[in-house]
Amino acid sequence: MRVRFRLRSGLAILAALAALVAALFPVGVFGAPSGRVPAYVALDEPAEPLIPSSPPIRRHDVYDLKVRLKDLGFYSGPLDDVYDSACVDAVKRFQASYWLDANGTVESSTWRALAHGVSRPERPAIGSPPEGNISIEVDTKKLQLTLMVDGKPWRTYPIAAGKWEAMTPVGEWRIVDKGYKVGGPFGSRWMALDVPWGGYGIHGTNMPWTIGGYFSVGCIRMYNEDIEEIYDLIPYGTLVVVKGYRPELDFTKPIGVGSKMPEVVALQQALREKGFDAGRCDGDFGPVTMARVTEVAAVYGLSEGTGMIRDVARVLGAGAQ
Amino acid sequence: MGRRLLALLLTIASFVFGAAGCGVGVKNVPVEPDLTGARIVVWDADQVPLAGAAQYREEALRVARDFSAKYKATVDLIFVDRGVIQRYLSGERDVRSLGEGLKPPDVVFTGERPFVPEGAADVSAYLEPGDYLDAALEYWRRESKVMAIPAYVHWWATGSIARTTEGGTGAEATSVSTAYILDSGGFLAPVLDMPGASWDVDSIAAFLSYVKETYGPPSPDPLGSWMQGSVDALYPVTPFLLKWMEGCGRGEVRPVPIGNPFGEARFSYTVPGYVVLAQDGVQKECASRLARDLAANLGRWVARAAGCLPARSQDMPVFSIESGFGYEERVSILSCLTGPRFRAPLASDFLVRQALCSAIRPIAVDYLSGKVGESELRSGIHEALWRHTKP
Repeated sequence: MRVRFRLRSGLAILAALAALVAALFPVGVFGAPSGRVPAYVALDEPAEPLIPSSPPIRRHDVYDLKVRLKDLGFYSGPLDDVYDSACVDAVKRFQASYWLDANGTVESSTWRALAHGVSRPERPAIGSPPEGNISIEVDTKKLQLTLMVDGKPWRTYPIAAGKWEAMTPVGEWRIVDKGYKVGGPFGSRWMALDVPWGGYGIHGTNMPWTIGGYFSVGCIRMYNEDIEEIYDLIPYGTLVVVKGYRPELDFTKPIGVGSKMPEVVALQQALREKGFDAGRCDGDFGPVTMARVTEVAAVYGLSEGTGMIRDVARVLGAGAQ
Repeated sequence: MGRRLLALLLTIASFVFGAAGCGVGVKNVPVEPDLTGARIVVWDADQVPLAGAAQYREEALRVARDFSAKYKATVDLIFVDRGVIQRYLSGERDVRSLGEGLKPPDVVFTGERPFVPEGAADVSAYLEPGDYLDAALEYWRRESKVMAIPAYVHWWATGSIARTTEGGTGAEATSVSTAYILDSGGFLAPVLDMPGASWDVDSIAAFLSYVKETYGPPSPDPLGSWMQGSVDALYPVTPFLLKWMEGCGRGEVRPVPIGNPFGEARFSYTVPGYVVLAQDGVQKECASRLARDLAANLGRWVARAAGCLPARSQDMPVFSIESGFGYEERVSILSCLTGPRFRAPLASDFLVRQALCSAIRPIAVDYLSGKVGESELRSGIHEALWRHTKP
């Protein structure tokens, strides 16, 4: 009885130590990543440590950091992206309270400690989805990602979306790459979207407190547990429809065949709504989109020259929120 | 004997009058042809649904289904871009080069700027002249033939904020600030498309001079100027564009006749419809009847959605009741049916016109902007005419 108790106690202590070590050290040290996030996805999600500097560095995840430090009572300054001395001091105090090296450098162990106590809401485990065509719908107004089966909602997950100045791109994208066990800002899984003007994806996070808000630079963040749940269900080529807020559009700038920009998505969506479907609303202005624009111009008797796309966008109300 | 004779006479009489269809109150019942097994390919085009109108594509497909069920014929109704239709009708008949999986059509929608294509069948046998607006039928008439089934009258006007109650003179359009869409296909219509228009330097220069004096320099963004309220009228305007202008919340907008230096202000118009390319026998019969159904459907749809005039007289109530136009607008629009009649050009003339417009546009822009004077304008027009109209 006593022996068994000791054995149990020993195992429990070992497990606790392992958990502590895993929490305080980067994944890269103890578990070799099995896939790297491609540069085009990783572009705006820096995985490098945040180091105090003079003049202070500006980085978008400083905002996320300050929000968390404020929530925890370590910081009371302005919420912005400047890693200034007030924030560095707050980080040091936080690190000291967590028995971390209080050097003000925010690397994975500090991010993990910051995330301590934040977890996704409890919900029952899901089974396999019903047979059918899987797609994803992301609503940045509701901050939700919904797994669809044959166009019908099956499971909904909370997300974080892009900040106001770096909105998650509205449109119809495809999953073109996937990876796992990367760690850092991408969490435990990532999936890349084929947005033609930048690197965007759906991924886990090391900042779970941001879920339910507008924090990213356009990517869709999920709780690691959630993205792990859906990861294997999502094949390459899966359609991801993102709807919701979009930046203010400017149709007076040059747009034509070959343009890749949010204005093109809005135009393609408006064309479809009016019965002139130009295919997937992928933001890539190809010859089909041009043919459909020309058709609408003919119906309305609009300019056949340089102003045609601008005028068609106007009469179709493209991009109206 | 007398009874037998009477019965015989009555039988003969009933046969004769019945067969001739001239009995009192008896109408000739047309015999439905047997079109079983016919296979018709239709190229149609999408329409912009306005004011909550149904998706046109669904409506057209329903017509095709009904026709197919009624006549036990097969109908392949496909929607093709207007650009492809125009290329096909203007002579590019190799469908493989026009689009993947396209089949040569028996019936083709003409688009908003129609012309008589090579190989168009005479469909006069399938039309009752009294059933259609004269102007719509005249548009497609070539001697005793009718080269398409007319669907609707697609008018061009000046869209102007309603400031006066007297309409139809065009006076109010010239008294307000007007932006013009210089590279619209309808911009030169008053000089190139008007009945009896002669394509010569004097006429074209006179029209551009009129535009410059009446409306001023060209706006870089005419629709934007309208939205921002810096102009009170736009020219040229189709029914669809007029609806858009109304939707901008600048108050009531009225279609008024287009001013020109040659005489009375007037609307211009085209009559989109369906050209039948099937030439013989059952195929032509089937194609023409289907084209008639599709044209009637489209005419009603566009009358309701945008306020075009349906080509069939009996569908005019759709325009009157459902177009959304008030009495004065309706009267004004209907005025386009009086006066000289417009005609569909031949394909060759249409192509020359297109090329001519493109060639004139740059010098017109320079002239209207004040960069060149009248002599340069005239010489530019002369060169364009020489290049595109000389054999």
